[in-house]
This record gives sequence, structure tokens and C-alpha cells, in this order.
Amino acid sequence: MSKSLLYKLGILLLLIMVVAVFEYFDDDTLKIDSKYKKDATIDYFADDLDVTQYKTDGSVDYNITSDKLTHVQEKDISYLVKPKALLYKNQTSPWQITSNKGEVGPKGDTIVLINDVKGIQADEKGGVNSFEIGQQANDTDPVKYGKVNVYANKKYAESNDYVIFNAPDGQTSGNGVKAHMDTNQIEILSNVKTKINRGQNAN
Amino acid sequence: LPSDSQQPIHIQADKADLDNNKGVLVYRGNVIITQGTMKVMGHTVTIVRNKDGGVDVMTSQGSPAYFEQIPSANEPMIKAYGSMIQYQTANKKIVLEGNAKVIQKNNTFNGSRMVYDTEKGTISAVGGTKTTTGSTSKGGRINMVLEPEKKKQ
Repeated sequence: MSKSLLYKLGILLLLIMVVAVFEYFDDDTLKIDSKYKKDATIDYFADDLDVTQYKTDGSVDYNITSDKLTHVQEKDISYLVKPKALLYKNQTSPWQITSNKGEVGPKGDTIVLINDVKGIQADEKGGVNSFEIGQQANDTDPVKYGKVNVYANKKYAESNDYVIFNAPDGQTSGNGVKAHMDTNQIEILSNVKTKINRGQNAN
Repeated sequence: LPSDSQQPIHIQADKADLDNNKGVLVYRGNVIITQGTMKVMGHTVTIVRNKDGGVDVMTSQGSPAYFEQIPSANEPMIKAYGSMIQYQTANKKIVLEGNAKVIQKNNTFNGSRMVYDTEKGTISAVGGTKTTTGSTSKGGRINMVLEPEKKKQ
């Protein structure tokens, strides 16, 4: 066999090996890429978000701000950093609700608030109502781990975590809560403790 | 004690339904309520609050529901049982219904319905209908066991 033929065979063999090696690696890397790519197409994001929803009479229904919103197309979920919501049931004293993170589900029907979930409201008499959901993992970790599912259309929220409500005349705590925001009814699911500061007819 | 009604009220239970618009709180499952020397227990307790945030009526249901309180500093604790015990705070009365029983200074009073006036320390009882099974109230009558006062030596 002439030298040039051998030379050509060698090059061919080399080429085949390179392709084989490439195929082998390519297969794995592509797969990981596509999985990652499939799950997280960020089709839009926004910094310093500020959204206000008005009622038909022109008054504010709610206002939501967030340091960052990231929307993932495949899941149609928006991920929020440090969301804050002002819910105006009546114009004078809105509820301010904050948390560490948030997720707004498809069509905005469900909102999940995650960690350091707090709510506060100054009532007409100047008193302050507040609630906190979640508990610290240990003394050194300041984060209060807890999750709340808010169903905006149904004006209903629920959590399986520890909750504590503070009002001018007392305090109630327990594990697990279902809150009907339109009728102001709250169910506490277990381990309930209440303290009413005022005695019976202390007026 | 007379000062009980000015003390904070502490409530423990398994579950709670709180209707803040109506001011009605319903506690269910192993309910224990304390306020000063007063204690109320039952499986379901409903509290109706007044618009100032105080408590108007506290209704405990249990098998039996239980109430205890020290009426005043130099008096022994009074204990009461019934399937329903209602503490009406405005007029300081306790209404007991269903195999009601009140134990005061070793005297025992039974009836189907009783009213204990915490301010005057008086107990009024109603016999009610004839009770058939194992009840101490014979023929729906009131039943009292009064321990004689010990003669001063």
C-alpha cells in the first residue's frame, strides 16, 4: 500500500475518532443544556417593580412593589424578590404584607409568599393589627421559614405553618391558618393559644 | 376574686374559628380558659366580645363542662359542672344546664338548671323534668347536701 494511501487512512481514522469523542460528550452536554434550557426560558424580567390596580370607582384596590420580577415562560410563573403588597380593603387603613420571596402563578390567580411573611395594619382607632407566619430554624438564623398561599380572586389565604396575630386587645397563635379576607374570619388549625388583654367589661 | 374580671384572659384549644367582624370566637377541643382564679373547661367554648374588645358571654359545652373560681380571699373555691355553662360577665351570673352541680363550701347542689350569682354568692336552682337514667335529681327535683357547720368549742 502506498505511503499516501496509508497517510489518508490515518487522517480518516483520526477524523472518525474525533467525531466519536465529540458525539460521546456532545450527547451528555446537550442533554443537560436542553433540560436546563427547557425549564427556564426567562422571557421577561423587571427591576423595581411597582404595580397598582384600581377599582372601577378609581380608588386603589392594591399596590405591589418588588425589587425584582423574573418570569419563566414554560411555567408562566413570576418569581419576586422582596415583594410588598398594600391591600386597600377600605381607603383609610390598608394591610401591608411583605415577605422575603414570592411566586405569582399562572394568570396571577395564586400568589405564594415565602419566608419572613408579615402583615401590618393601622386600624381606624389608631391601634395596630399585625401577623407573622413562620418560625426560625434556630436562634442564630434570623429567617422565619414559612409559606402562605394567597388565592387573590377568592380573597382567601392559607398556611400550614406557625402563625401569630397581634391586635390592640390581645394575641392569638397556633399552627396552620385559613383566612377569609372578605369576611374577616380566621380558622386556626391546631395548638391554639389566645390572650385577651382586657377583662370582661373593661371599657 | 372580684379582681378576676380585670385580669387578662388566657385560652388554649385544639382549633379556633375567629369571626372578627361579629366578635364571635369559637374554640374547639380540650378548651381551657383562665382569668385570675377563674377557670372554664369544655370541648367547645364560644366567646362573644363587646365592641370595646371585652368579653360579654362565655359559653362552654362539655361532658361535663367545668367552672371553678375563688369567690373572695377568705372563701374556698367554688366548683360547678354541667353539660352547658354560660358565664354572663355583664351581670356576673353563671348559668348551668344539664345535670348541673355546684359545690360550695362542701355543700353540693344539683338540678337540671342552676344560676350562680358570683357577686352575691347566691345559687338558685330549677328542678326541671323527671330524669330517668342514673341522675341524682330524683323526679326532677332539686337536691341539696348541706354540711352542718362545726360547733365552735
